[in-house]
Amino acid sequence: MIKRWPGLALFALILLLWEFASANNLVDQVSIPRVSAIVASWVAIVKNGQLAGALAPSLGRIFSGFGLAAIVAVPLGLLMGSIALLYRLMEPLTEFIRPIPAAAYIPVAILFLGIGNEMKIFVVFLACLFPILLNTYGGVRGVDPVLVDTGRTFGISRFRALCQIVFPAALPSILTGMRISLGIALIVVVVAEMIAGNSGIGYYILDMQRSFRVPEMFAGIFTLGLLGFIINFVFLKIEQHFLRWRGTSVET
Amino acid sequence: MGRALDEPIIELDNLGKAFAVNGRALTVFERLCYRIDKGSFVSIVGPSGCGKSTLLKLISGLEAPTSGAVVFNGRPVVGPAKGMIYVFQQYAKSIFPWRTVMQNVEFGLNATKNLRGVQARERCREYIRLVGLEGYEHYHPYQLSGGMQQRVCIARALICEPDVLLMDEPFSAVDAMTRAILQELILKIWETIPVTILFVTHDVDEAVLLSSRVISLSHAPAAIREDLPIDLPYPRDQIKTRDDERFTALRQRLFASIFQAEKSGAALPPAEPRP
Repeated sequence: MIKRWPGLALFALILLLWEFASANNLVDQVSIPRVSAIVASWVAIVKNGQLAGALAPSLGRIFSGFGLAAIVAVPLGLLMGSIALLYRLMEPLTEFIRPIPAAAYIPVAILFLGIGNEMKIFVVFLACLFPILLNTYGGVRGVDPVLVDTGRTFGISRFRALCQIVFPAALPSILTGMRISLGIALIVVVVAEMIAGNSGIGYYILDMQRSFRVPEMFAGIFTLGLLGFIINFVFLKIEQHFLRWRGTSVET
Repeated sequence: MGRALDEPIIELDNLGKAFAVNGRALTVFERLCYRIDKGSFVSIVGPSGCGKSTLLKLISGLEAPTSGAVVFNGRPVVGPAKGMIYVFQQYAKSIFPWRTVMQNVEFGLNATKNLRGVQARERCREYIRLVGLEGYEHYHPYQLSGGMQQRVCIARALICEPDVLLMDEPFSAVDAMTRAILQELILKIWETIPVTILFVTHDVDEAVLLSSRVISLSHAPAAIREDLPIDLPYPRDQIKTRDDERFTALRQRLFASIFQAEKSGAALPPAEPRP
């Protein structure tokens, strides 16, 4: 805990400087309002339920898209990692699609799925799919041959080896992929909501900017920072729980 | 010798193995013939890189021969054979780190036996006791020393009640004192359980101390240079057996044989491909 103090102190210092600069008109108070004003409007939108109303649809999209991606990518990654033919078949394709930012699919997704929830969940799904897939098959291919041979010498079936040896051995890598994809999901859902639709935290931030409610806009942006931090923190705890057999903390 | 029966359990029938290294074939064995008696404790020694581990992998069925066959209990070995369990040198990579000691041993049981519930747990405890890990049932591997991890791997193998235990330099990665204790443990196990042990080692003393027979391989393409019955009485003992004049004579003879082979082959490239 002590190690965190310098970082927190710097954070507090920046907020203080911001407050000072804005209060003394060193920066334009309209576009950069005082931190205290932002906090006040944050408290207000928390109390009147506006923030929760904006966050709920975004969280729903993040977790549905992420969940679907995990359901598809983990089994597919396990198979790609363990069946050489499937790997050679799919790898060039995934390597090509992977670097395309998921946000680039939004226009196409709008054509097929409209501007509603389906489109946003689909885009989040695509964004989450590749980090999980790559980390899963990477993890499977990285399983030590001695471990694989151990399964073989005990004469267990390939399916059983996949479930009982390959999956747990690749789990650290799979969970890392999931954590990365959750971070990306947050980015993508905000972009999708800003481009189309009328709900979610992304839309809220854009809406506040358009109606010159700048403190509320900043409150929304800060909320995203907090949300990203909380999601990452909770997922790290989940990772530590599942990987406690490693006896060391999970790399962040 | 010891309690070996005059009945073959493993036969090597013109066994051959070649690897492709940089486009050319490298022969490890050619027309290798040998017979291992049921219940014996056979150690395989030889100069480094002569293919000791490869031979063990071929016998286990983890690797396929290029020519000839391994015959186990009268049947040719095709793929990992039921009734033989391989114990790896790299115990830290072979143990399941996400499973406790109990669960690791349970893996062996579930892989080969149809035993569940209380009976299964009782059986696991029995084998955990056998390797001297009582009280550590619920520890994870990271909480154990190297020697203890290898004990877990041995218990996990023995619970399958294999006819043959194939041990590939199982004690070469632990410190000297732990090795001495593990050697005693494996002697005790072999004396109490009807299992045939095939033991690869580069340690001549270890081979003589443990085995009822030691075969010494030459450089690749490896042939059996020496097939030495070890006529030291069982039960053997770290102190008394090592003190025996016969022990010294046997180890000297084997050492000379391997040392000659090592020197004569020192200029040759290693036969086993280094991964």
